[in-house]
Amino acid sequence: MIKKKICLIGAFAAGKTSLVQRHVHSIFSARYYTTVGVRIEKKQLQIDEQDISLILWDLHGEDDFQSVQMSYLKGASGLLFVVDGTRRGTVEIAAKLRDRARSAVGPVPTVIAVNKVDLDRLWEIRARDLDTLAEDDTPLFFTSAKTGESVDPAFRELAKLTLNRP
Amino acid sequence: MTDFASKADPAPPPDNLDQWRQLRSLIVGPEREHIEAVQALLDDPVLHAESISTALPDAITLASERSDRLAEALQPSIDGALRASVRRDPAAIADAIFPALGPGIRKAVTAAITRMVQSLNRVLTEGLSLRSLRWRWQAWISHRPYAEIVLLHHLVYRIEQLLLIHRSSGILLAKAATESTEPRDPDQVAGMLTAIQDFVRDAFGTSEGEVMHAFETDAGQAVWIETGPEATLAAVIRGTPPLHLRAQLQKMLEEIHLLFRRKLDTFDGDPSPFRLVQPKLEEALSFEIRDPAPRSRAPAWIAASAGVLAAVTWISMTIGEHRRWNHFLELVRAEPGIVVLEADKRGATWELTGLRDPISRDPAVLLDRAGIPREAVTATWSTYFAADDDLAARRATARLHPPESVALEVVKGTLMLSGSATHDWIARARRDAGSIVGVDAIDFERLEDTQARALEHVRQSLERSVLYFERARGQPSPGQEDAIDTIETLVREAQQLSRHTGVPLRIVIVGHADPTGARDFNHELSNRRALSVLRLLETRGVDTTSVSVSQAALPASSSPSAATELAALRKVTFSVLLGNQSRS
Ligand SMILES: Nc1nc2c(ncn2[C@@H]2O[C@H](COP(=O)(O)OP(=O)(O)O)[C@@H](O)[C@H]2O)c(=O)[nH]1
Ligand SMILES: [Mg+2]
Repeated sequence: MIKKKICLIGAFAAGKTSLVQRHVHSIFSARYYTTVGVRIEKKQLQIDEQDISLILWDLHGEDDFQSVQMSYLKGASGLLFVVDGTRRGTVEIAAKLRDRARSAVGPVPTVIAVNKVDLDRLWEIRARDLDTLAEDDTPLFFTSAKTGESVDPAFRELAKLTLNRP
Repeated sequence: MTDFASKADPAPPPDNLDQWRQLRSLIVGPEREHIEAVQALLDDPVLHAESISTALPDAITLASERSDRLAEALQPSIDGALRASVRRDPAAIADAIFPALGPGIRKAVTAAITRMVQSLNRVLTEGLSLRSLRWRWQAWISHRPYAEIVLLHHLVYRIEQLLLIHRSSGILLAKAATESTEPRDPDQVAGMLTAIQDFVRDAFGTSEGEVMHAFETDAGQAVWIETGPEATLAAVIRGTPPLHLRAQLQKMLEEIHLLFRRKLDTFDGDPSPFRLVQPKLEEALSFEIRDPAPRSRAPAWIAASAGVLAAVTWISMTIGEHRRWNHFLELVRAEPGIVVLEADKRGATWELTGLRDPISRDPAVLLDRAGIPREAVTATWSTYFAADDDLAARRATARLHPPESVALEVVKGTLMLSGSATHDWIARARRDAGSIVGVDAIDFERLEDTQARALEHVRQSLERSVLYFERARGQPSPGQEDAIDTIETLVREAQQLSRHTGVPLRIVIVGHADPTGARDFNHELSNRRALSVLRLLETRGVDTTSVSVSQAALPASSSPSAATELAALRKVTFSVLLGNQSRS
């Protein structure tokens, strides 16, 4: 069983916790989350016959009051950036966090989830809005924590990328 | 004025110059070449270094043998170099000396602890002479060695879990846990411990090298954390661990670093190499210990000065107060789970310090009984877990919530349960009893599992049940509805009890036939009868995976029998196999 540390990063209320909690149930109380700023969940997958445990660090979102603690990123094998498709501003926040994360952990496999795709009437993000964030080779998923759409594929892709790393 | 020329070497006379040169080269020629060679050596840094390097080791050895001057001379440069190196990358040096650092620090800490223990011993022997007398008395009346009594009264602790965690990623590398305390998801716990450490470091601005060493959980466990350069060892401990445990954990972590340095360095998510650490961790779990008893005797002068102190204190209070107070102290000291370390009068109030087991009686009640107003006393209790049987029994009762049908007692550390209880309760008690402080063994011999007993009853009833058949017929004769209902209920009940108790079950429907008629036909008939009952149960919705059919051996056909006797042979009976039987 391979274990990989994965950090979920993004603006406050983008849906990080919802994406993680779709499949797993927390053994920790919400108190830790707000005080310590992170909660750890686990997700088990099988990639090409290889069992892999993603240890998911759900980092409390970036807003005016709470900034993401970069020390939580160390030792991460992959990053999942979460953007809220109904709030254009969250792309910029994610891009900023991406730059900070890079300087903290260097280049690690990255996947972007543009979340809340079920809310099409409130959708704000156009393709070119994502240019600042998504580089050519960064896989992009349009997810919904509510319906489950593309959630598993996003995690699987990230798991695959972490395994293929030399 | 000074004449410079007069100080210079006399110049050779010009006409003799050649001769002079010749002469000089004759006399000092070889030396001169030599000097030039030496000069070249000194001028050329490479050659110079080379020649010194061959001589240097011997020179240093010689110099050190003769005096400390070389060391003294070198010290500032070495200090400077180390300081510069540490400033550039503190981690490199710290990591390099981590395995070596431990023993040195431990030595210093051990010395400090020894001193502390000695002074604590003094306090104990001074303050507890009464108690030790009581123990000697206990030892005498119970015919047990004094040491054993002291041990029984002593602190206990137990390491419930050990987690080895990769430091930077927080990924769990290896773990060990006592059976009853397996953490719900050790991977998540490991990550969270790491996050909390990071959090504390960030929140309180401590530097990279300083990390959190311990915290307590709501459940009254202590979590001790040892941090090395690449890995962290976390121990979940119940009870009151002695300080030397810290050193043991450190040592274990250092060994792990020595053995797994490369694996830790290059760790990329595959914890399998760390399987080898597992036995080491498991071994550590087993040191559940009673701390060694304080033995040292107070020196005479301390006893004497304690006597003087007592006299002074005694004079300064009224006789009645004194008596009430003494009475109270007697009560407290007789109370299991309370250890008084110091009792002093400060101004108008008494001050009491000691150890108290959370399960023990509230000392305030004893104050009431001794007639001392509660506000006249301030007490400071530190938590400890006493190993007294009485307290262990109380703790066990609080933990296990035994039903009224169960009698619980602890005798010399063995938890004895008798009476009867449900299977679930017994399973839970078996699981939880191990982590009760003061319980070293369990004895459930005299405890009956009510469901197992019920299953046995059902088995007997089912094995007494019979269904009868007409001649040559495969279906039960009519009018046996009630019997079939009962059988269905018994089968269902047996299955449910089997599921509940985990006792494997197999029910065999056995077909019988009378001896009249052809043997083969009877054989087949027996089988048909058993199968028809099986179908019957199936149509009633009974799960028949644990039910099978067979035929009884045919009775001998020799003696001609009465019709009623033959009718009694045309039947189906049941045989119920429990436990291992059910598999064969
Ligand atoms: N409709 C919809 N709502 C979502 C989705 N994901 C999250 N939410 C909602 O968005 C809010 C913030 O989600 P949360 O997971 O707490 O965000 P976090 O701060 O990034 O962890 C919550 O009210 C969620 O119910 C989604 O895919 N669709
Ligand atoms: Mg969240």
